[in-house]
Amino acid sequence: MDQPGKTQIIDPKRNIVVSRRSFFGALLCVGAAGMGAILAVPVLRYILYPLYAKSTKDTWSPIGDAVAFSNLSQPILAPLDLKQVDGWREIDSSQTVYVTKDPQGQLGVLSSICPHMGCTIAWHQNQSEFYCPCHGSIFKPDGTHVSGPSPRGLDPLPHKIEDGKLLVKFQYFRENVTNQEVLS
Amino acid sequence: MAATDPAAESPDPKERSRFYRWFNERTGIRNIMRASLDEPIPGGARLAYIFGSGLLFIFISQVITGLCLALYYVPSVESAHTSVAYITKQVAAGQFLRSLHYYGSSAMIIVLLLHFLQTFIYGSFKGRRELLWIAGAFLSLLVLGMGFTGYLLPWDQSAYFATAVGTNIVGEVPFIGQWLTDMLRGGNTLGTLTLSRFYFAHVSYTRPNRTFHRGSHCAVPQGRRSRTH
Repeated sequence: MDQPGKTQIIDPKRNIVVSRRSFFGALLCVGAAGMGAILAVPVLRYILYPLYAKSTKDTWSPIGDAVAFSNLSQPILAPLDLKQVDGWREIDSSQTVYVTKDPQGQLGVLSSICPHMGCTIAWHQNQSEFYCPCHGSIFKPDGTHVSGPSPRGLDPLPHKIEDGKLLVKFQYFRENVTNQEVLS
Repeated sequence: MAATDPAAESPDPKERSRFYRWFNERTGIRNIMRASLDEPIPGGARLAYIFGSGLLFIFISQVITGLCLALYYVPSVESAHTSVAYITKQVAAGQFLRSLHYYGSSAMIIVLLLHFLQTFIYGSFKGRRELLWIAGAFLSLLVLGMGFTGYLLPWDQSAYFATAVGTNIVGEVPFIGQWLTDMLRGGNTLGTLTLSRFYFAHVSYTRPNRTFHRGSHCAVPQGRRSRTH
């Protein structure tokens, strides 16, 4: 059954006999392993696709007329409609953001999701600060972290003014990390 | 230690590795490999003998790509076509894997026919191998069944009407034809119940196919050959 073929290459130092049969056996093994490895690449890419796919559409959602925010004295909670991608489904969902205005008169948009554990931040008018009802994190009106367990300040969102409308690109960020990290 | 070890003098380089010996003592891998790869073929190896192994490899490919497709596919009237489109247009390598599965199913039928022809022309069904032939015929029905049920799953026009025709043909069976058609369709009409039935059948045929194949088509000839030749 396992008799060596006619040709034999013998390595006298290591006492290895290579028969034609064992050579082809090794060739078969290496070839099959190589082909298997190559075919595993598309399978892995396919299986891991949702980890890298975008779940929000890269679109700008309108918040309202920019003029309406021009005499803003304190941050205001604004509702927002956005499209979310769930596999092949596209869902209309709504979110809220805070529109702020700095002393120079520049509008800013902050996510209302607490960077700590994801609760919705409240604006406390009397204390003039953002307050998280879940774990008591406190933020300044511009979003910087004052106290509490949150590892960073409130997340600013990309925004622009086009045709007199304030537009925002809503994004989700990884919670409980020091650096702002966009989730797809 | 190496001097006293009998395996150290073995001509097979694999036998000399300590891991191979450890593994072999626990699994008997050496005998498995010899039985499956070093089996002597009377009259020598021929290209004509490759169709059985060819079928096996295509089948393994169908199982792997099929598992991948099942990861995203949803068998319902609302979602079947959309999820298949999602697989081909969105998911990374989805088009490639679905094509492998799609063309693999045709390859399966073609190689199955060649396997049948080879066995028939060479007379390999003779010599106390009648049961092996019958087992093969049963397996081929399962393959055709998987092809038929799988064809409906994308839920496009050709899938719908091919299944409409296919289930109508079953209706021509005397006496129980209508009952068989309704049973296949899960009701009077082709719809979401047909789809989930066909999906169930398509996925669950895999098990008997594999088990039956291993039992009747791989193990039996191994025993037979050692005695008949």
